[in-house]
Amino acid sequence: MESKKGGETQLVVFTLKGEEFACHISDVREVLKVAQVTPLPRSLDFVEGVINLRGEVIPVLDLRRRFGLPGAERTEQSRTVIVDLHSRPVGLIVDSVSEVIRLPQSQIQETPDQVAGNKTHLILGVGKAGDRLLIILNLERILSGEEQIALDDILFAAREAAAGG
Amino acid sequence: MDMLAYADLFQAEAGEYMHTLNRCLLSMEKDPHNSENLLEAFRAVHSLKGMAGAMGYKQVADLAHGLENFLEDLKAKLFFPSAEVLDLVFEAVDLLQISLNNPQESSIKEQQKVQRILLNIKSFQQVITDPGPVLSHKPENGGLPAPVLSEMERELIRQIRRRGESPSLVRVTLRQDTAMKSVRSYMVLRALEERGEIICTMPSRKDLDEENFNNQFQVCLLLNGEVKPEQLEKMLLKVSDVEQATIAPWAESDSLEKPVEFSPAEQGAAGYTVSSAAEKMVRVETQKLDDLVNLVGEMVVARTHINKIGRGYSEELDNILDRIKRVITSLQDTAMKLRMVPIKQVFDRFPRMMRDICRDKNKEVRLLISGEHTELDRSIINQLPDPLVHLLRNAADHGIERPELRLAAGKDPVGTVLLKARHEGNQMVIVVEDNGAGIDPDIVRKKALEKGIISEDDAARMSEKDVIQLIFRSGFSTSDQVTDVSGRGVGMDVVRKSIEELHGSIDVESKPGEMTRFVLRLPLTLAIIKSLMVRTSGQIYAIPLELVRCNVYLKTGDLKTVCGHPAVNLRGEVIPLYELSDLLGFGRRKENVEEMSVVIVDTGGKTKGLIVDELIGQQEILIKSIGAFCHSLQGIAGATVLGDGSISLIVDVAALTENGRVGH
Repeated sequence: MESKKGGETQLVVFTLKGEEFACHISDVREVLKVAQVTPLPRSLDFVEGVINLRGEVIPVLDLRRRFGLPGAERTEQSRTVIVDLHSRPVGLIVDSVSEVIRLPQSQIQETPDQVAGNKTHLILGVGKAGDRLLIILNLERILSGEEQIALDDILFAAREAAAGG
Repeated sequence: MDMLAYADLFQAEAGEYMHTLNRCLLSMEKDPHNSENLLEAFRAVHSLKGMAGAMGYKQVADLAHGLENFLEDLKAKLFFPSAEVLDLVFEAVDLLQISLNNPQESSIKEQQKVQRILLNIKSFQQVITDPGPVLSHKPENGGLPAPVLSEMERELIRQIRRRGESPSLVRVTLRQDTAMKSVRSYMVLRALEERGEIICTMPSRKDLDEENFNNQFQVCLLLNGEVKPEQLEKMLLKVSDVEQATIAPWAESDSLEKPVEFSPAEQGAAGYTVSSAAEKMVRVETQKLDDLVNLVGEMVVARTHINKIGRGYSEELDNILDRIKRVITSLQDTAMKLRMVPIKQVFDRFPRMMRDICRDKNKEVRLLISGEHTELDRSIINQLPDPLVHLLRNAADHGIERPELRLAAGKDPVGTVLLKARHEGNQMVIVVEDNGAGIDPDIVRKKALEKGIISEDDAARMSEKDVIQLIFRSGFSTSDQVTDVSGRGVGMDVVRKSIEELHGSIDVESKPGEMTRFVLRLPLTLAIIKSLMVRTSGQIYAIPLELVRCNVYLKTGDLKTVCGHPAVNLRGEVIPLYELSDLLGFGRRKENVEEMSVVIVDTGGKTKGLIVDELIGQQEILIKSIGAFCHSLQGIAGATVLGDGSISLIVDVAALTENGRVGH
């Protein structure tokens, strides 16, 4: 869902390995510092574990590992973004959360239907803020599947999308 | 309007009406001369018809309509149904159930069946011309016949609606011990007449005058424009002996022939008084109850925390902490009770089931039920029907002998199956007992040998009591023929498994030639369980206590190796050992310790030892589900939040050790 106000979209911007990603603000419940995570045995390798969010036990994923990168050291900037996935909360560990940005709808290039590599389903589009490119992730696709996703696939899809506009 | 949103509600209510219907028909079969059952059955079918019609379920509505007409004729002609007629009605009810299961679609075959049944019903209807002995139409206990609006009254309401006004429904309850009910009702009616126009009363004015009503009556009223309902309510309460007065808009559904539902489905022998009890009930979405229990659990945890920090600063603070503790404890009790429902919900379907089995198998069985009001957590109740159906069917099919055999053995030709429920401490005990042929230990022993479940040695060594327990082993089924009643090769092991999934246990006793008794023990709730807390790989895990047989400390020298797998000989029993951290995928411990803590667990009929780093102790924990991504998890049954806010995972021992590492 997109929160539009006068043709504007609000995005939460976060970083992973120096790249800027974003998701719609309506999908984000809250942003937390990285808390103590209880490991989940025998789970998918990108599942970091579970945390206690005010009494609710919710799973936390390491987004770096989801994209085939080695997990990063936790720093002061590391954050857990709590997003709603099918109205159940899931935490995503990212390198940092930089800002909430308002972008006019015209500055968002939606993913073209057919692009080589066929990985475009992983992103919803690309937002252009000045000379920055914000890759808007399709969280549902990324979090629901168990297929291997490489960061390069996403960057490639983003470049294709940006070029398509 | 989106009818789908109401489909669940419809199914829930329809289910209750079907229960009522079945119960009434069974009573009619036993006592055809009691018109009370007929009336109640009629009301249930009538409501069902209305609801199905509103939902647009044509087949259900048609069937219900046919059945309703038939019952109405029986009612009007005071015809006492014969067994043949009742069979037909039972068949129609079954068909109704089938249609309800899939109300929107139906196969051609089903439609033909429906047509055939409707025709049969019609032909019987014509037969009912003999009025039979005269029977008082009025129910003996002074209850109300279904209130029915006359055509004139309905037309009156239609006219009012056309004028753009809407009538109100006034419901008045008099005190139970009211001395002159007719006078009180007269005063209420007079007060109402001053402030509006009375369209009709339920029951009729005549019945009100003659005190032919319990302590509740209703009035359809057109209020004068300037009178506010609240004022009227207050005013009615001033009339002496009026306990309760409510005014609500006359709902569209009320304008059916029967304006008010006077027969709550749960109505039992108590009869009419139940309707006032039903008004004290509220239907609540179960999710909301779960949320409440969850939040209360949270508060318990938070209280423990605040207690730790705040205790000892001042006497005043300590007093408040104590008070909070008491309040939260009773809040927790109350919240847990909200989830409890009487086991009646499950038991209610069994009399009908037994009747069908007996007909089918030419057996005569009396089913005696007790303790149906015993309450149990909703989540457990939902899982109970299957195992109980299995046990009861077994009792009727295999347990109770044929009448002629029973007579020959000097027994009552009618067998008895007991179904009893009761609370015992923190447990629910359900007993299924039959006075049939019992279980012959010799046959069981022979069978178990044949199927390779036990060895010759075992067979010779085992006591009769132990031998009987073999029926719970997988791959065991004593009945040679597969019958449609007691399943196809699915045996008692399935029953045992489903009871164990509920953290319960099942035992069997039997005296050959006399009886078989199954005793089920279940926890009252699944939300909170007792568990043993252990530490391994730096994390705290919870092991459900009902699986734990004992804890032992073992020295390295105690370890044996059986087929390359570590094991221990504990009082003559060889128990395989597993490292919990290894099962969980965290690897084996490197250091070789002198002494290790081992938890001996019984699961799935097998005994296993789990090596852990440390035993922490017993604790009551609140089970929480782990969110998305974890459905594929094996070996973890859930999680709980500990007093300090950290999470402890609940170990699913059976899954861990069964699908776990083989070949170590």
